[in-house]
Amino acid sequence: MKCIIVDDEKMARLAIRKHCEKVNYLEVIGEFENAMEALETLDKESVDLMFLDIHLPEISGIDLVKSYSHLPMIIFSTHHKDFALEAFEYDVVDYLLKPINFPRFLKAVQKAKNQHEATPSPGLASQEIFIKVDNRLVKLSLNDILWVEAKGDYVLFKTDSKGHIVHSTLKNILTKLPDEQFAKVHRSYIVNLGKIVDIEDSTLVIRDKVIPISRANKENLMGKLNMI
Amino acid sequence: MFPIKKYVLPKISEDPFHMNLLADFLIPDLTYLQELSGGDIEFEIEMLETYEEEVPQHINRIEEYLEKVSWISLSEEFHSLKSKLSILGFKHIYQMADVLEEQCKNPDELNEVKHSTPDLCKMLKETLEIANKEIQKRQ
Repeated sequence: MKCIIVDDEKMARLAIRKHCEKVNYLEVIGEFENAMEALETLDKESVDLMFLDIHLPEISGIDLVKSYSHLPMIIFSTHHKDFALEAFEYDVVDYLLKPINFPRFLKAVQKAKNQHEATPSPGLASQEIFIKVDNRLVKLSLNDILWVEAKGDYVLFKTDSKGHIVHSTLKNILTKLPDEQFAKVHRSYIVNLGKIVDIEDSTLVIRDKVIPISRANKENLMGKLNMI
Repeated sequence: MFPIKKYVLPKISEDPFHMNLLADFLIPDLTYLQELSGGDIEFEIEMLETYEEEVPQHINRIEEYLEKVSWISLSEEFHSLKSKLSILGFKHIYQMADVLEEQCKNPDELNEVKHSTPDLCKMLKETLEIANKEIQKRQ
């Protein structure tokens, strides 16, 4: 399982990393001091498990779990046992008290492994999409798509690295994209919900792009967002 | 790991009784670090060096926040120290930091914080020497 460690204390991160090294099914692909840095990686990489400190600067571990829906499995770590009850309200795998001893750590990650194996792995079809660009079929990871934009008889698939023009309609594309990850927000735009960074009355922002939200689509969009 | 509910903060003075008490406070229990490392000396050194590098910054900030009477920031600093202290097994100092963290949030106990924080800083400075000796032993 691919995992990341989020803790503002370097010694705590080192300790968790050392525990991970002893478990052959764990691979640490990143360590972060705060939640925002971790979110950037979650946008780009496929992560199965996150070791998340509750007490973090700016956004606490609990606030992160409350605010974001597309997170991997979570194992909380903290010095405060008082947070345990609240932590379990958010459907986390486990809750570890620091300093974390190895037998307890192993029990927690084994629980995560069992959950991981019990969850049907999303097939290629649900993670990726093939689009016809000129005479080629190009594979796009759904997580890489920022938005899809209607351009007359064509649509533009926008990713961080480039844009792909495809001969199709927005309506047709919408049927191919997972409903829980994408939403039509305007007659000319479908957006990846996980990429939205800001929403105002009638616009939203992805990267530096301001995208209009039509009245007709606003309710659908708001219904799909994880809001407090 | 250190389940003590109410901990009485020690009063450090120069008399022999208190100096002995201080010496007891400064004995690290490295069992956790050694279990964690599984004999990986490089890892132990990395941990100890991180402690040596970061604790002086904590001390500076603690002294600054105490002077500015920034109780919330001070409480956060005590909290941050706890990971480090628990990993190197400075159990008593950990308990002090734990108590001070909570006392910073209670207006009735701020005088206690003012009184005990310099003692904590003094002990933290001593732990740096201890950490350094542990590094030397491993090199």
